[in-house]
Amino acid sequence: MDKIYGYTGKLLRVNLTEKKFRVEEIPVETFKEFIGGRGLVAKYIYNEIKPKTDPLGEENKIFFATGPLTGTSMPSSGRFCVGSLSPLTGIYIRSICGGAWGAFLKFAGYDMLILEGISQNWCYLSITSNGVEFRRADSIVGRLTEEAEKAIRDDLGNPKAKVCVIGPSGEKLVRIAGIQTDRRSAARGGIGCVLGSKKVKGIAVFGQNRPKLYDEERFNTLMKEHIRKNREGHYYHHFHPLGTTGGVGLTYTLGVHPVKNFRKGVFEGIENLLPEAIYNKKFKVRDSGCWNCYMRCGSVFEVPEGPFKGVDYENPEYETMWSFGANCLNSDFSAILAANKICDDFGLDTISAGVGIAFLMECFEKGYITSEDLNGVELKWGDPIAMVKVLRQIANRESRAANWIAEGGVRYASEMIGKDSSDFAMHAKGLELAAYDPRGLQAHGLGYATSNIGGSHQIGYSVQELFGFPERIDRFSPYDKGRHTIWSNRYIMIFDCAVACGFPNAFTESRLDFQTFIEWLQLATGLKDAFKDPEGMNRIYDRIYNLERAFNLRMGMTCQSDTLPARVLKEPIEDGPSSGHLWHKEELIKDYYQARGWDLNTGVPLRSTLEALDLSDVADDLEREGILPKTIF
Amino acid sequence: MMFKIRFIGVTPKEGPLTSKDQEGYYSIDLSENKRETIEEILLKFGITLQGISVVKNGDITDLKREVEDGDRLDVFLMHFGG
Repeated sequence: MDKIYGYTGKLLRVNLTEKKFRVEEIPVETFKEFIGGRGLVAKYIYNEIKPKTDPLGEENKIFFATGPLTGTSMPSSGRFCVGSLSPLTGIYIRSICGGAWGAFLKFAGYDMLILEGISQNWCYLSITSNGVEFRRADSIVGRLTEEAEKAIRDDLGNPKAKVCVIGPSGEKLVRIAGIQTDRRSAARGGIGCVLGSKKVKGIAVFGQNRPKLYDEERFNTLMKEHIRKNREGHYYHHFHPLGTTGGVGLTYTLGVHPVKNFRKGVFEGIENLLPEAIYNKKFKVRDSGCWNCYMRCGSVFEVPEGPFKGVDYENPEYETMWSFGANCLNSDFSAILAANKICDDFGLDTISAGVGIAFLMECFEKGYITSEDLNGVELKWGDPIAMVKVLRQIANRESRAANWIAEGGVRYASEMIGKDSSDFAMHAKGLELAAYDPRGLQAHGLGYATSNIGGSHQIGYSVQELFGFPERIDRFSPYDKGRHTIWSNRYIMIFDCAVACGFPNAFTESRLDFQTFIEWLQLATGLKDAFKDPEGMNRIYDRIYNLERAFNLRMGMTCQSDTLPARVLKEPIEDGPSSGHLWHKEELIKDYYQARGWDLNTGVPLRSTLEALDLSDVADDLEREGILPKTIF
Repeated sequence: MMFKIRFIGVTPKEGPLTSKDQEGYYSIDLSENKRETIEEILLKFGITLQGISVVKNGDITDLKREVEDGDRLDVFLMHFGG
């Protein structure tokens, strides 16, 4: 094998059923074709998870992947990507997590970790350069996430080990459960539920072998300059103090910060959730941040009094400020802090949980459920105490209605409740929508509807509509949005494959973008022919995207699910700057399929599209399984 | 020419800061014939453009556009969600 830089070139495959592991080589061609992170996850999940796999069965696997910039001097380089067949959506899920765990997996000698099978007893894994130790977790099961991380480190006698864990919700197979490490989450799509199904409470990693980079000296000089410029820059000055917690204002001002389960655009209590009000409360006690990051955009808060009195509250990110804020008509910041902490402690996705509660609030208002379904809780709009009580019920599967959310999010809950509740069950492909109203951001909605993981804000984040970056486009128009959404799909791929964080790198004075990514990749890996120019990189990004799509099609997904709930198709936003608008599915979806080179009727990638991306074998698979559209000419 | 400007999650370092109204807007009075772009106005407040979005009268605007009489400008920071 040629000398490899920036990667370890190895993956660790762990069979939990047999308590065995082996180290495999990752061919350099795989890195050239898929870069790392999300690309590796897509490649291996497509090859290894077959149709009709039960997401919670022995055949499902979890794929943890680092990228070529993981563990380098790039800011926040400890992140990792994790993917699986989602128990929430039944299709592909990828989730990205901050912290240091990814870097230490790499320092232990592995670019990837694949978990297979199901352990007979609750266990945790200790991974080092010597391989895997399977250790019993009987005394750790049931503990909250941060306690569990500490207990595992103590049990190993290694305070420097980095540990990712599931909380009690993952143990109880709550399908909106995530994985936690260092107060950061791989939250979406029920990855924590899959880990729970395998009876793995946590995974400790430790290593000290940092892979050599191709031109280490230049890479590090470049990063020093990147950090210096940004540390002295204005963006840091504005973003560092509150991070995304302070980000509610822009979407609200545009009328796309959904209020009351996406019914409204105006919320009288919003002032309490804007940065000035948060500063004035003086709850913040210190900064926090991720490993190896200058930005330190996290905060720790204390609430001195009231029903949510408490200490050591980590800051809610923007999506959480919304999901437990305006979406539930809650203007009590301390309740959002408490809800965020419950999600972190129990290992729950804050977006899915908050959207789930807003859905139940609307069902309660309409009389579709009663307090009897909620163990006596009167779940009224804007009641923070009721909100937090029901959140605990979801985390513990405690009441009938909360258990529906735990069992399958708002899609499943609406199937149980019936009536017209599916019209306002706010999800795409089973994954709850995030904090942007598609009726006022048409391309962002297109991103939700066509995303390979469902209603993610990240996969098709429309920076053009929301920020006017890199160009301003008409946010209400459905026309010509396909190419813009593809641009966004590719843009986020940079961060997902690197694996890099957007906060210290995306909108700062010195930026990670299409061109700088190539430069950084070349310096890190030396693969100058593979990572050569933006056009070539776009082929890689599109290869990954189409492979994920093909995986979903093989899992039974069809174009029928490239849609959004009836609420945004039929009901205009009631008030605010985006009132009166709908989301225009027909124009948007066709335009996207066309721009992607997908069949206009079925949304299946055309053979010619797949072949142009060196995915002929995938075209063959789809043809063999009767999925690929017949070529007419 | 009068216009209003508000900063949310962005802290101006300097500039013609007067008292804010109840909604948090500063009122700015430009001499009658003076035409200035949003970019120029932001620089007066010590705000460089990197990572900055401006909403003008309810919608995202180009920073090269000139400020007009009666405008309401809201200044924000770009970021991915999280």
